[in-house]
Amino acid sequence: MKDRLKAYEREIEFCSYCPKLCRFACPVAKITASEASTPTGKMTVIKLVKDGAIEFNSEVAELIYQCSGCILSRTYCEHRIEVIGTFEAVRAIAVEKGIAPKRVLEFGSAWSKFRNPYGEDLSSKLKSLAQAKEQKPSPILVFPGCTMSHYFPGTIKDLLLVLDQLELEYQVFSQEYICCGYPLYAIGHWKIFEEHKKWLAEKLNGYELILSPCPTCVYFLKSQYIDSGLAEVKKIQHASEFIAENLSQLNLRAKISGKIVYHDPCHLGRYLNVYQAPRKILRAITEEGFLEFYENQEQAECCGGGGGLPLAHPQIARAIAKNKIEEFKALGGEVLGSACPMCERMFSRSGREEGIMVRDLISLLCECLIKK
Amino acid sequence: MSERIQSATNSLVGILGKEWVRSDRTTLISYARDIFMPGYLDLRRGKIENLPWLVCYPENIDEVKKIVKIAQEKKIPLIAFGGGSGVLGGTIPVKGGVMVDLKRMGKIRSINKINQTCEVEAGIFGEDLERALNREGWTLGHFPSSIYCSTLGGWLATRSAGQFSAKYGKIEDLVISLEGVLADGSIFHTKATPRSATGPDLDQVLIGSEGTLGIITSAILSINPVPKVQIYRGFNFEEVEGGLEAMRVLMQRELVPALLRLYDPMDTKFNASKLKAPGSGCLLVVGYEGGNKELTELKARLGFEQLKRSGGKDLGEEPGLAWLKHRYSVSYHQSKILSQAGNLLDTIEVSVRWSEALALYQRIRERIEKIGLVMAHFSHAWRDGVCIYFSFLVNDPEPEKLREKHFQVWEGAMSACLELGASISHHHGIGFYRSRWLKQELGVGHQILDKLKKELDPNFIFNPGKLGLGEG
Repeated sequence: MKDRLKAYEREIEFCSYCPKLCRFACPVAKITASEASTPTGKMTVIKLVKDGAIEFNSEVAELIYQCSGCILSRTYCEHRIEVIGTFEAVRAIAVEKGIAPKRVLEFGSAWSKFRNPYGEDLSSKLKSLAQAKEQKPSPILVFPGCTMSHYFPGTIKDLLLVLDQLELEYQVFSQEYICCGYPLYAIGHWKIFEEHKKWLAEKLNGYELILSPCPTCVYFLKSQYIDSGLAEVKKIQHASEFIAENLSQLNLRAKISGKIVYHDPCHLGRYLNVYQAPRKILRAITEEGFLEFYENQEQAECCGGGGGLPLAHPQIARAIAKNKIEEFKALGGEVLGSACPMCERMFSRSGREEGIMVRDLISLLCECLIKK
Repeated sequence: MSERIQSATNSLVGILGKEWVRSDRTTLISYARDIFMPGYLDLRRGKIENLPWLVCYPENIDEVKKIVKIAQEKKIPLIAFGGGSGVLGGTIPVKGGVMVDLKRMGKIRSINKINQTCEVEAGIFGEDLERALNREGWTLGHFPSSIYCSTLGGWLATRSAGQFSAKYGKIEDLVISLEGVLADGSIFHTKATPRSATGPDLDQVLIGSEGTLGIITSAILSINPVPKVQIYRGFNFEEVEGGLEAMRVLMQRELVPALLRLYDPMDTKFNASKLKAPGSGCLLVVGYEGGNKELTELKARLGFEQLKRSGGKDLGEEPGLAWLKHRYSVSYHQSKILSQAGNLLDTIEVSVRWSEALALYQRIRERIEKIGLVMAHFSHAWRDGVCIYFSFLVNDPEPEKLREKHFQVWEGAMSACLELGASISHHHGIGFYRSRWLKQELGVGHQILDKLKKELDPNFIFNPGKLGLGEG
C-alpha cells in the first residue's frame, strides 16, 4: 500500500495535516454532514491505512468512494491539491483486493459486453445516426462519448447539424466500443481500463482534431491518451470551444427567450479551464442574456455525477443534484443550461418531478440555426 | 459495546433513523481530534485515542432535546460539534461519549431588514453564512481566519472574534438572542430585544461555555449592509513600541478602523513578500470600510494622518489590499510545516491592557525564544487594550520531547499572562488544554462557574473535561 501510494505522498500528508480549509465547499460532506466524508477526513483515513495504523477493509473503501471528483476543494486550497487522484489510486487497490463496494465490483462484468457502463450497443446507435450523412475520410473526429450516446442521442444529431452548417468534414466515432474509459478508471478498474486504453488509443491515432460534446471525454482522452503520447492527436476540444471560435460563421435567427441558468460542468470548467466558450454561445442565442448560479466558474458546485459517485453512492449523488435544482428554482430559472451529458442526466433526473427543463447548449444553439 | 451504549444507540436510531447515527470506525476516527496541535503528533505516529462512542446528526431542536433526554437517562456524555476547528481540544471526547454534530442544522431561518438581524441555525459554516448574507446585501462582519472550517455554533461556544471585530463587534456583541437545550431537556430561547435590564445577561453566560452548560442550536444575530467603500493601507514602524502606541492612539481618538494589525519584526519578515511590504521594521495594516463614502473616506484620511503623526511610514494601499486578498492564508502553512517530522507549531492569543502590552509581548517572546522560533502580531485592538497573537515552532526528533517543549512554551506564556494581569485567552477559548490555567485566571469566578455547572448539569453530561469544571 505504502509503495503504491508513494506518488500521492504530498497530497496525503498536506491534506491530513490541514485544518479542513476546503471543508465548507465539499458537496459530498454537505450531504453526509460527516467529518469522515470531507477531503481531510478521507485523506486522514488513507494516511492511517498507509502507515499501518488501521486496516484497509471494505468500510474504508466505502468511504473513499464518497467523492464526485469535482475538485472544488482545489479552489479553496492554496496548495492546489486535487484529492481525486489519490482516491482513484486507493480505489484501484480496493478493486484488486475485492473490498470495493459491491456495485463497483460488479461493474466489471456489466462493462465487458459492450465496453460501456450502460450495457447497450451504442455503436449501432451511432452508426444509424451517422448514416444520415455520408462519411468521408477526414482528419477530424467527432467522439460522442457513451453517456451522450446513451441518454441524449438527439444532442449528437444537433451537434452534427451545427458542424454541417460550418461545412466541416468529419467522421463520427462509431466503432465497436464508444466509451473513453473514464468510468472504469474513476472507480478503480484499472486493469480492465489498461486493455481498453490500448484498443482505443490505436483508433484515435493520427487525427488532427477530436471534438466531443462530453467534457469528461475531452478531459480524459487528453490526459490519458494524448498528453501521455499514447495516441498522436494534434488537438482535442469540447464542442462548445470549437463552436464558440466559429460562431460568426453560423446563421442564427431569432433568439431564445426565457431565463436560462448556466451550470459549469466540473470537467469542462475546473479540469479544462473552459468557462467563456459556453457563455459566448449563450450570449449569442439568448434575447436577454442568461443567469449564473451563485457559485460559478472556478467556484461552481457540481451536479454529483462525476467520480463514479452515482454508482457507488447514488443517494449522495442525487442529493447533490437536488441541492443545485433548489438553487435553480430560487433563481427563478426556466431552463437549466448544461454542456455535459452527465450533468444533464443528473439534473433531469432530480428535477423530473418538478418539470425542470434541462438542455444542452448545443441543442439550444441548434434551435436558433437557419438551415441552409 | 456496553449494554448502556447499545441501548442508547437503539434509542437514538429510533429518533434520528439509522442513517444519522453512526458508529463505524472511520467516522469515529474523524471525530477523535480537532485542530489541537499536539493531536497531530498522534496522527504522525498512527496513534488513535479519544474515540467517541457514537456520532449523531440531529436535524432540529426537538431531536436535540430527545438526544439530551436519552443521554441524561443513560448518563452518557454529549459533545456538541460544529466544524471541529478549535485549537484547544474543545470537542475532543476526552471522557468518551456521543458527538452531537449540528451541521444538519445549518439553515438561515430569516433575515429581518427592519431590525437588521438574521436568525441562523448553529451548524452553518461561517463562509456559507457570509455568502448567503452577501447575496441579500448584508454582512455579519465576522471574519475569523477559520471562516472556511468553523461554524456559528463553534463561534458562540468559544467566544470567537473576527478580523474586523473593531467595527462590527465580536461574536458576543453580534448576538441578540440564543436558542438551545439544557441538560434537563428544557429548551431555552432568550428574548430578542435590543437590550434589557432584567438580571444578568443569560446569553453571555452561554456564549463561551464551550458546550458545558447547554447545546446552542440557533441564534438571532445583528447584521450590517455590505460596505460600499473599503480603504486599506500599510504603514511601517521602526519597532513594536512605536507601532503599539500608534494603535492605542487611533483606537482612543474616534478613528476606530475596521481592521488594525501590527506585525512584529519576525512576523513582518515572514509576511513581507506576500503582503508586498518591506521585510524590516514592523508592518501595520489598517482598513476602513462602510456604507457612507464621504464618512468612510474622511475617517480613513484622518486615521492615516494620525498614524503618520505617530511615526508610521505610509506604504500606500498595496500591503493593505494584499492582506485582504490573503487574509485566510495563514492556516495553509500548517500542512507544510506539520508534514515534516519533528516539527510542531501552534498559536497562542492573549488579551492585555495597553499599559502592560509591551511588557507582556517581550516577556512571552523571550520565554518562547529559549525553546523555539516565535513571531507575533497584534491582531485585535480595543479602546483599553490589545490581543497579542503569538505563532511558534518547536522542533525535536523525539515526539515526547517535542510535546514537552510545546508545553513549556504554553506554560511560559500562560504564566506570563497571569503574572501581568492579562487574560490567558482572547478568542480561541479554553478547551481541555488551557483548563489547567483557568482556575488561576478566574479565581472565585471559577467557583461560580463550577456551581453553575453543577446546578445546570448535575450529571456532567455536557462536554465533560472542559473548562476545568467538576474537577474539585
